[in-house]
Amino acid sequence: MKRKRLLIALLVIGVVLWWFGFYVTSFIPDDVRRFLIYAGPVIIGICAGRLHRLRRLARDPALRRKDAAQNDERNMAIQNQAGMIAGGVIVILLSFSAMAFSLITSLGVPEWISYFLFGICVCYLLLYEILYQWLQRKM
Amino acid sequence: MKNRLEALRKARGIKQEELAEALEVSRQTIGSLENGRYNPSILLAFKIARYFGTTIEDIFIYEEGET
Repeated sequence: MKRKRLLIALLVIGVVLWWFGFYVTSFIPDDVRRFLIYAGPVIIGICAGRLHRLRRLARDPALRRKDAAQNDERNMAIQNQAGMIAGGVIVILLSFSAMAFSLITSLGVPEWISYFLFGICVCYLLLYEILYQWLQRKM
Repeated sequence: MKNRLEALRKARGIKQEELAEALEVSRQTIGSLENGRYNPSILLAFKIARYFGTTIEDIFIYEEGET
């Protein structure tokens, strides 16, 4: 139920963003409007798909059993571990790329790209620390 | 951690698929449990014990020094 409410809220946000992109022309720059016109339907599509799946799960006990088996504790542990390793590797790759782009000037990569990549790494570390502290208190 | 899951299942003539369905886990999870590659959560351990009408200690064998 909680997930359904969250998905409906996100769906509404998607519709609002799309509507803004099309009809609010006075104070939103054109490139931002173009972004909203694409981002809105993506959010709507993802949420509608998830809601449709939730509805099917609620109606079909066989599908619900299959879903429960596919998302059992071992599979969840595998997914969590895979996600953790992939996340760590991506952050290392991003930080090395950022270093390479900023130090090897012959690559000709604009400076802001290095800062952007470093920013993503810092965000990951901050988010990790916040979530770690939060989960420590929660569990 | 060692366990007697496979022996208990075979003694009852149950297939891995049937046990998996009863416990609401995948067949692969049953296989991993039986091989000792995966240790269940306390909830799943209770479910397994209740299914076989026995206790957790009867199924799962903890040996000192295990992590």
